[in-house]
Amino acid sequence: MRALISWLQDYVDIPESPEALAERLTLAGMAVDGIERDGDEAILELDITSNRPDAMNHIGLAREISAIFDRPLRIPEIEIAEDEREASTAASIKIEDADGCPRYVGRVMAGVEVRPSPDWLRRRLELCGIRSINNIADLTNYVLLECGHPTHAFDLETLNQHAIIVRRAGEGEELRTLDGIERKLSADDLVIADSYQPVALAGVMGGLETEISDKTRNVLIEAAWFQPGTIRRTSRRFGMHTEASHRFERGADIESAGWAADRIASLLGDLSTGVVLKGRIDAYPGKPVPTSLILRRLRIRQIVGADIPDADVERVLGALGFGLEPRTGLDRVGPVMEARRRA
Amino acid sequence: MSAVDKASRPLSELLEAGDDVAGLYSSLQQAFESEKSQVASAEALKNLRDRWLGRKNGLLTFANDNWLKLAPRELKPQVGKLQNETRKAVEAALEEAQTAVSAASHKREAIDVTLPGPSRTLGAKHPVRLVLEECIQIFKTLGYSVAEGPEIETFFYNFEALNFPADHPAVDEMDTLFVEDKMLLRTHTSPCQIRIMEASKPPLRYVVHGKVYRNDAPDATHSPMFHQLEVFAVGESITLGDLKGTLEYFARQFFGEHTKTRFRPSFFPFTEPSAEVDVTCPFCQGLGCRICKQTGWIEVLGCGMIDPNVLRAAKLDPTQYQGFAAGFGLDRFAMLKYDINDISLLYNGDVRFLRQFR
Repeated sequence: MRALISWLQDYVDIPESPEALAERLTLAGMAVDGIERDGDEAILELDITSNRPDAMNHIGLAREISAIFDRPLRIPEIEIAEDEREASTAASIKIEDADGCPRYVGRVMAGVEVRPSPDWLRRRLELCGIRSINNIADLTNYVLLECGHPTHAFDLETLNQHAIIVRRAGEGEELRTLDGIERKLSADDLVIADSYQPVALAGVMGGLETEISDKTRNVLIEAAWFQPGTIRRTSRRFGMHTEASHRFERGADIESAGWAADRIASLLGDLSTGVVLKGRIDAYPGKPVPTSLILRRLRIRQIVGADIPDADVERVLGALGFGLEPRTGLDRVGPVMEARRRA
Repeated sequence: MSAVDKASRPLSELLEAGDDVAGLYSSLQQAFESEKSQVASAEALKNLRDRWLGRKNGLLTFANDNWLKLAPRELKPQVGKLQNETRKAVEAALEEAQTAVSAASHKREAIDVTLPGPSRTLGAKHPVRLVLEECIQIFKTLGYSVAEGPEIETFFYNFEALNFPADHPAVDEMDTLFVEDKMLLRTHTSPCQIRIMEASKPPLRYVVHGKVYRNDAPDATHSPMFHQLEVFAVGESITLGDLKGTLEYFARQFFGEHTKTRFRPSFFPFTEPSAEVDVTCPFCQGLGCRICKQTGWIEVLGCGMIDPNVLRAAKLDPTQYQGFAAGFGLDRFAMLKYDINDISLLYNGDVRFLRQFR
C-alpha cells in the first residue's frame, strides 16, 4: 500500500526524515520498498504481510510509528451533528446469514449534494493511487485508507423499500457490478440485497444500479464485517481483487465498523450539504468475545533466548494499543489482547 | 641372354647352347633373389609375386612350359624336381617377404604416444550444485544431517501441517501446481520438517534440500521450478538467539567473513515469530550499488521459531520442544555468488554458460 507522510502526521509526530522512518518501519516488520516524492509530499511504498491487515492503513501505521518513536497517537475525535430524525425510520437492515456477516452498521445521510471532492481530498486519494469519483464515493475510500475498514455508499432511493438484506445469492440471480460487468451469482456468494434483488457483492464490489450518482440525495453508508473465507472464494471466482476484498480476506476489525461509519458521517459537513440522521443502525448478531491471551515472561525468555525487561514489554505493547492486565505469579506479565489485532 | 629370358626359350635350344638343367634353375633362383631384395613396399611385392608365380605369364610358368614340358623323357625327373624345388623356394621367399612387409607397415601405423589423445569434453558441476555443496558443508560442520523428501506432496504435508488455514491468502500467494485432488508439487521443502519430526525424536538438526514448484510465470528472477535449502533444529531449549547465531555464522562462511546480517520481522504461517534476513551486499560491502539498489543490504532468507501448531501436527509436545527453521533459494544464492542476472540461464542447458563453472 501507499502511505503519505503528511497524512500520517495527522495522527502522530514523526521526528525523523522519511528515509529514517522508512528504515525504522522496515526493521519493525512493515517493509518500505521505496519512497516517492511529489512536491512537498513523500509517499511510502509499503509491502505489508498478510497477517497485518491492521497496518494496511494510515492510523494503523501511525500506531506503529507512535510505538517506535514513543510519541502519542492522535485518533480523530468524532463529532456528528445529527438530525432529530432516527436513521432506523429511513432504512432497515436485516442479516439472514450471520456466519457470513456477523455485523452490519448503517448510517443514513439525507439531502446530500453529490459533487467533486475538494482538492485536499482528491490529492490524498490520488497520491495513494485511488481515482477520485465524487465527494461521497471519495469519502468511503478516504476512510478506508485512514482506518482500514472498507465501507460502501448506496443511493438510498434506489434500494427497494429502503431495505438492506444480507443473504446468500439464489441460483440464477444476477448483479451488474460497478465495473459494468454482469455477474452470474451462485448460492455460495454473499450479497447485499434490497427487498427485491441483489445490489452489491458483499465485501468485494457494489452494484451499478444503486451507486451514487449526480441525482443522489439520500445515502446509506454500509460499514460491515464479512467472513474472510466467503469473500476470498467470491473474489477468486470472479477474479475481482479490490481494496475491500484485500482487507476483508485478511480480516478487518469487526469492532471498528462503527467507528468507520461514524467517521464518514462526521466528515460529511466538510464536503457536502445534507444532514446525518440520528444513530447507527447496527445489526450485530455475531459480536465476538474479546480475545485475551496470557503472555508469560518465562516464555518470552524461552523463545527469544534473552531477557526483555518487563518495562519494555509493557511500554511496547501498551503503545501498540493492547490493554495490559497483570496476573499473579512472579514470572508473568499478562496483557489482555484487544480484538483489533488478530492473534 | 639373362636367366629370366631363358625361361621363354625351349630347353633343347638352351642345352644345345651349353646350359645345363641345374645351372638354369640355379640362375633363375638367383635372379629371383636379386629382384626380391629390391622390393620395399607391399605393392612391389605383389608385382614380384605376379611376375614369378602368375598363372599364365609368370616366369615359373614359362619355365614349366618351356623347360619341363619340353624336356626329353630321360631329363624329366631331374627337371621336374628342380622346377618343384624352385617354385617352393620362391613361394616360401614371397611368403616370408609378405610377413616382413606387413610388419613394416604396422610399425609405421603404430600409436605415437606423443600425440594428444582424442579429446573428450569434461563435464562441470552446475552452479546450483556448487552452492548446494558449499551450504551443506557449512552446516555439516555444525553437526547437521542431510535429508531429502518427495517432490509430489499431499495437501496435508505441504499446507495443513505447516499451519496454513485452507482459505488463507498465503495458500493463494503460493500459486500451487496440483497434480490431482489433494496431491501437489511441493511449493517448498518445509514438508520435510514434518516428515522428519514424525520419524525421529528430538534433538534434531537437519539440512533438507530439493526442487520446489510454483505456478509462476518465468522471468529474470522467477522460475516455475527452483531449488530450496532449509535448515531446522528442534530441541528442548533452542531459541531465537540460537537461530540468529547460526545464521550469522552461515552468512559469514558463505558470503565472506565481514558480512553483517539484520533480521526484519516478517510473516510465515509455519514460524512465530518470523523474520527475513538481509546480509550486507557482497558486491559493494554495504556501500550501495546497482545490485543492492543502493541500500547496502540484500534479502537472502526467511526464518523463524517453528510455530507450536507445526510441532503439534508432527506429534511433538510444544511445551516440551521448540526449535527454529530457515530456508532460502539455492538458485538465488548461485545468482548472487556468480553475478548471474537471469535465472533461466541456470535451466536452459547452454553448454557455453555451464562450462564456465569448470
